[in-house]
Amino acid sequence: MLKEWPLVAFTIAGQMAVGIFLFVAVPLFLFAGADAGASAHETGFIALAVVLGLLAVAALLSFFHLHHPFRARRVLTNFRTSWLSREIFFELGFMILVALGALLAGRRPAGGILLKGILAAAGLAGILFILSMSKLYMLQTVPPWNQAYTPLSFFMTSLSLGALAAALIRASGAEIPSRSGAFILLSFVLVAAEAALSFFIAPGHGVYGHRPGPSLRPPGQARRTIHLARLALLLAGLALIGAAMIAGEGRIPSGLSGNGLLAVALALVLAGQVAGRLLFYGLFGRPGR
Amino acid sequence: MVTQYAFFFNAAACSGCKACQMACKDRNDLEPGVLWRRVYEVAGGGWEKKGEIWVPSVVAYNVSMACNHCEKPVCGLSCPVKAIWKREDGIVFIDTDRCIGCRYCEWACPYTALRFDATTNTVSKCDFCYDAVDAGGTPACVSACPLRALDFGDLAELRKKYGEARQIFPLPDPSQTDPALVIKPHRDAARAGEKGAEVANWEEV
Repeated sequence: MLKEWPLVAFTIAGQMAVGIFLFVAVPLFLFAGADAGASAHETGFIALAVVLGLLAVAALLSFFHLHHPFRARRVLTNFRTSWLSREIFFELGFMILVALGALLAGRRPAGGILLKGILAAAGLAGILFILSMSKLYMLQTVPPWNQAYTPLSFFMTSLSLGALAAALIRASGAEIPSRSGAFILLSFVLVAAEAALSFFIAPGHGVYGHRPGPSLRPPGQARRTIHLARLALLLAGLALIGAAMIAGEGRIPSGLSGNGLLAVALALVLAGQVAGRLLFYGLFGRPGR
Repeated sequence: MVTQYAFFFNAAACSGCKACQMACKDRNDLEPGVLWRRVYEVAGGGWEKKGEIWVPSVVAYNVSMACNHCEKPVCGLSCPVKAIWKREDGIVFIDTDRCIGCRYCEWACPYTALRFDATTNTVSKCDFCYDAVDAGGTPACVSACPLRALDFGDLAELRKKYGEARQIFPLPDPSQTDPALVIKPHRDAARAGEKGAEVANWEEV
């Protein structure tokens, strides 16, 4: 389970990058009207830089999962049948499009229709990236992963971390404060939904020793303590998001203390996601070494 | 001409001596922890009350399993670098010079046939002793079995000779991969599931 740390880091960083892109860059660049000011533009640019950074970190860490990383240049060879090839294809596509978007967004005046087109394509590539990531694990031969919970949890990770990071990024900027509070509420709803999902679905997802059908695979290593830690971390994060909502009276709380609440909440929810992902990989028992 | 090589396993005859497993390890010089053929000890049941008396309801048998050189090799379909391919006679091979060691094929194979080899940092698996077979010989596991519980040959021929069965507890649903495998089930296999049987030697396989 712990051996899969590069995949835990890769999947969570990649999903978070897509979430931030969808919650910050898309509304600011695609749907903001002509009245969107320079500060909104600047916030969007920061978001694109964060997304790129996360994707670069994800790609770098994924190499630690490979035992022959220098042969990885062939990884797109089997696009026709391998979801792993497709996942990397969409990740690279997403990264390149976001980088192009950031280049255009950095120019003055910003790229207009071309920028919007590139960012729309990037959004699609990002969604396909998470979808292909889900399909990669939804193997008919691995029943604990071949469930609707896999894509659901991947998208929930993306959206909950994305909304929370979006609130934090927007709190650091000075744009459209009246709309920004919505992201705290959204992150509260998403984190609550994720905690509820993990609580209700976990027993059927192998956490309590359930083995779906006969198998030549050894029992998984999913630990009940990690499941409980995941729930506790998500709930603690939820409490802090609630506190930030109260402190900010429906908007993003101003000042260092408000941002601090959100930052700690993000750290807690992120830790909860890491625990959840360790649990996910623990459902699969690898035979041999 | 052989169009699909396959193994036959007679679970009713297997005593669990593991000569097949050891012959495979020896012939292929496999490192400790790497097993291309494994013998699973299936055990379950206990005591059951029938009327006023307790009777044993134990199920116990062995399953010798290697790569089944599936007609639908999901390992190869999932490999991102096309390092796994199928020869004209159905034998599935791994090109270890091409393998990136992502181990995705290990997840995909329900028979756990693919094993990570720490000496080459790639996955490895049964190659059907293709050089021996090409020279008119037999795979090492088949030769080593003292009870003649293993056989090999063309899948269609084996089916004619031994029947159509290719799944017993705890093997997965064969429709997932269409394994080139024919099995003669042990008499306990049919009630293994209901008796809560499990593999009893996970540490070994």
